[in-house]
Amino acid sequence: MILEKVSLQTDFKNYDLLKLVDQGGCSSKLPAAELEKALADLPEIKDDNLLVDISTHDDAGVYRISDDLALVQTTDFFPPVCSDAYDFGQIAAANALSDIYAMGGEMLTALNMVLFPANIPMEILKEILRGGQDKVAEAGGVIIGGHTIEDDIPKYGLAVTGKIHPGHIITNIGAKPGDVLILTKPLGTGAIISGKKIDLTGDDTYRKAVETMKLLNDVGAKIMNRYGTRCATDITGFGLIGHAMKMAKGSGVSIRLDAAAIPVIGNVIELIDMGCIPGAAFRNLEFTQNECAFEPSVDYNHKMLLLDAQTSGGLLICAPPEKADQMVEDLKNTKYPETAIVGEVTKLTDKAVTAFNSRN
Amino acid sequence: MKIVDVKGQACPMPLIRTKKALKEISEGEALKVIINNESSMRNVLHFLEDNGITARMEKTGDVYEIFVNKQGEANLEQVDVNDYCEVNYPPEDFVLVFSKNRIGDGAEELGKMLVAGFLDTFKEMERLPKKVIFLNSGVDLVLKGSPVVPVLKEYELKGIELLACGTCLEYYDKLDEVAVGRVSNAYDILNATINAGKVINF
Repeated sequence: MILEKVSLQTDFKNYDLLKLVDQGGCSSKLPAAELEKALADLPEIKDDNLLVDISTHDDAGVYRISDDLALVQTTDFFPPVCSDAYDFGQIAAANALSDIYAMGGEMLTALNMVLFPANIPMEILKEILRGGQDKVAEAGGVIIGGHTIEDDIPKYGLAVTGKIHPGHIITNIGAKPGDVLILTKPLGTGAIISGKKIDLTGDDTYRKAVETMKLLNDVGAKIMNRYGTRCATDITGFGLIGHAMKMAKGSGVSIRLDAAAIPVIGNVIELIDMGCIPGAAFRNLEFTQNECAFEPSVDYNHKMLLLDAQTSGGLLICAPPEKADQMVEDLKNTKYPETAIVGEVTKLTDKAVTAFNSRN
Repeated sequence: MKIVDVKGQACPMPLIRTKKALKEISEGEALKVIINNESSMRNVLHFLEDNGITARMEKTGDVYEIFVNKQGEANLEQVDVNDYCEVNYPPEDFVLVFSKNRIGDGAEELGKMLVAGFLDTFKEMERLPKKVIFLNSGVDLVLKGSPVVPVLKEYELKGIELLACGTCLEYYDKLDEVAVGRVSNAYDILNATINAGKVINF
């Protein structure tokens, strides 16, 4: 694809942010293995009030202020994942806030993180920021400032502070054999965004993906708290299987995922079948292949769907079996109609995660 | 030969074009994919490998050329992982010997990482050994809890014989902890090495 020159786009109403990104979806995140090399030799940070740190690869850090109050902090920003600036602002904000919700927290404040080229009209930046602000307002929080740097490709996100009760932190290391796994949003945003860049994704599927990415995980967090959930994570760049793997390893258990039960966005399976598989899915394959297995019943397209990097994905929740059905009902009846039971936690086997297909 | 030129095309277009071309060419026909982006090249190779399709890559300057020969066994519509695990290249006339639980001297941790890395990479090679032999502390690799047991099980699935030295297992008192392969004796192990065209000792 040839990058469209920025100056050619003068139609601000229909300004296509995706045209600015050559391979954003494919290469915007550092590979996990490379990142670990950079972090490996840094001194470990110890503090009695640091309740959740980077060592467990959890979604956000948690710092205790008092016996009944802790701060949850996280940040996330990335290049455009959709065409429209207002949509992009909302998605980037929902994605950044998601880490707070995955821990069971409530949001308080946020700071804008902006990288933006000087040669793109400021109207576009304004729309991005408006999207972020609206999403934060919807979440019940406030944006209290931010920082802006000039850069060739726009990038936007938030640094977020939330609050949580130190005794009610939901982590990714508390999965127990027998737990049922609930996923609150359908999969496929990585392949859909990639396909959109080359005009392969149909409008209907694209709109569904944008709506899915804009959806806050706030109500999911409330429902988790109501059910006393101890273990959950949100699904983002490592794909469903990568995040399930981190959960399994952190908890010392194994996980079985049923490919037939996974909710999907629109016709993403057809896109993948055409070969519309972003590089991130292959990176996730490399990152997971020693510890995750695909049974023969899982076809190649579903394998790549499980590996597809998600933007602002849903929550993966561990629930005791006796509560799972009611919890799914509650999630479906609120904001997440496509919620499904997608797998189960077992005792430790030789693979952290095994995917199968109950229909084949 | 069909030629697909995807120079200058953004990810995942090279993969889409490759997959389409693979469906279009007839059996036995060759396909050449020309790419000038390294990560796209790796993705396409990864995809082909993942679907059990043998490919060869040549690099000239900044341009990569991937050559594929369509064989009957690769059915792109319904491919699954185990299908191509069982597409066996006939084991060749050489054996691997691991006489330590790691590769080389120097840092022990590195040596162990190398063993895992080598075994994992080796199973993807076109040329597979007939047998793999484990001697002295090398028997650690086939014991319960060894990180390479899953990989070695894949070796077995491919028809490669794994022989662990019985005397060594007895010496370390680990006979009942063997998780993969078979406990062997000096006679079989010597025979395997003497009769092999080539012995590679790690």
